[in-house]
Amino acid sequence: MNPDPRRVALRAFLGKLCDVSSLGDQDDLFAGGFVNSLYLVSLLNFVQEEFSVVLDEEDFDMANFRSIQSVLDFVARKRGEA
Amino acid sequence: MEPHLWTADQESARAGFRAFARRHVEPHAARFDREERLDEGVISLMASQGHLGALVPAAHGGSALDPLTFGFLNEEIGAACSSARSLLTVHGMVCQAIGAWGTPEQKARWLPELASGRALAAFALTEPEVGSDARSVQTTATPDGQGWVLNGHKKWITFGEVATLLLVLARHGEQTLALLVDGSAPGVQRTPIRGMLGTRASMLAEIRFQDCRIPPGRVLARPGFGFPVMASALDLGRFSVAWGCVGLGQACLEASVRHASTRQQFGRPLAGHQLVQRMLADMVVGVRASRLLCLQAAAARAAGHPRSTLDTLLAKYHASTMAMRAAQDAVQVHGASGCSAEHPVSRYLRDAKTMEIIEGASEVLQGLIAGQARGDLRPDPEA
Repeated sequence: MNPDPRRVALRAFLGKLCDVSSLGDQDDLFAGGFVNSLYLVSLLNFVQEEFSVVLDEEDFDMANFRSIQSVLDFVARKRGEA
Repeated sequence: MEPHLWTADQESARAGFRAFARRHVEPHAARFDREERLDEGVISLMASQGHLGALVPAAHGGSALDPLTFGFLNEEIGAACSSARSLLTVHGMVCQAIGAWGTPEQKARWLPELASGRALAAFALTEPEVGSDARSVQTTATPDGQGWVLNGHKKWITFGEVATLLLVLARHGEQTLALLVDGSAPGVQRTPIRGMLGTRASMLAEIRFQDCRIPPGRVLARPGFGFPVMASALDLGRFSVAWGCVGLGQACLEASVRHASTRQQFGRPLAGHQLVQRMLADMVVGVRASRLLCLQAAAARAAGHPRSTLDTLLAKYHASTMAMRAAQDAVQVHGASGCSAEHPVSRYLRDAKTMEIIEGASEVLQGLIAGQARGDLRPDPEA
């Protein structure tokens, strides 16, 4: 089974910020200290550029960015795939 | 100088910034410091040069400088006058926040005004009881059906005395909000703060909000995103201050070399004494190292690299501590004349101390840097 390329790209991105070896797809990025507010902007920029989505005002909801899975679900919704 | 690390266009822009700063800013810096205000003339000149729109997209009337060129602007203005550089910092923070988080309507309304200098912006986060611990903000925003009602007290707000647009961090329950507030709105009361140690012309103010009604369309991003909005602005602020500190360190170095080369003691110039040479050498190395860290941060920002925030932390921490050491040594090299209020190096020393506190005190930055290092060095569970 081929790995999900978006998941791979997102984990690679997060790996530039922190140690993701113990990070599960459902883990809370913020509560676990993997990503803090300082880096949230980088994450938002990455999501927009890497996955070709444009964030609207209503997208600024922490629930969309709380875990790897929630980011992937959000991108799928924005791209009309879900 | 390391001109091989940037382009000819960037070098040309840098030379222009330097010529402007030395002609129009530096000669007046002592007066600004003494009078505790920037005069409207220098602000207008900076606006006419596009400095206030440095971070505004061209589509909204800005100069849209790349990160390194913006850094050079801050270095050169910072070498001339830290208070003028402070204006670039806080004005740029608000421009950056609107550009990054604003709706098309918000960008169209405010960015052209800010780029032209018709509007001046201030960043209102700090409160009497809330400094580095920004999450504990006590100013409240309460929904009133359409917009918000703002109540609270901000303090130490750079250019808060004259800003026409305030970016305010407030709280609604557990949520934080970043609000765009007209400086002249009913319910906004501003009190100038005088007698600061450094960057004395930064026109600090206390700002009280009493039942201040904020119309709809003034929240950046959404309620709940206030802290990320402010954190991203602070990231830009640290970048600006870091470059300003490189300029401040360079000014200390140039003043010290001039004085040490001409002042004779014991039959030879001060620069001929080895203990003075140590101070000059430390300044040269410190300025160069800080500039290289700033260059690294600028490159990371230009590339959109996620480590740019960390690189900026490193640059600001190093450059601000470097500037403080350089200013202390510059006063030492100048002896009694350096202790005089009439001499620029005494202003440099007061300004440098401020640099270690604003946009993230050194101890806060050390904690963030150490925390990142602990994450980077976490033992590999597979090993």
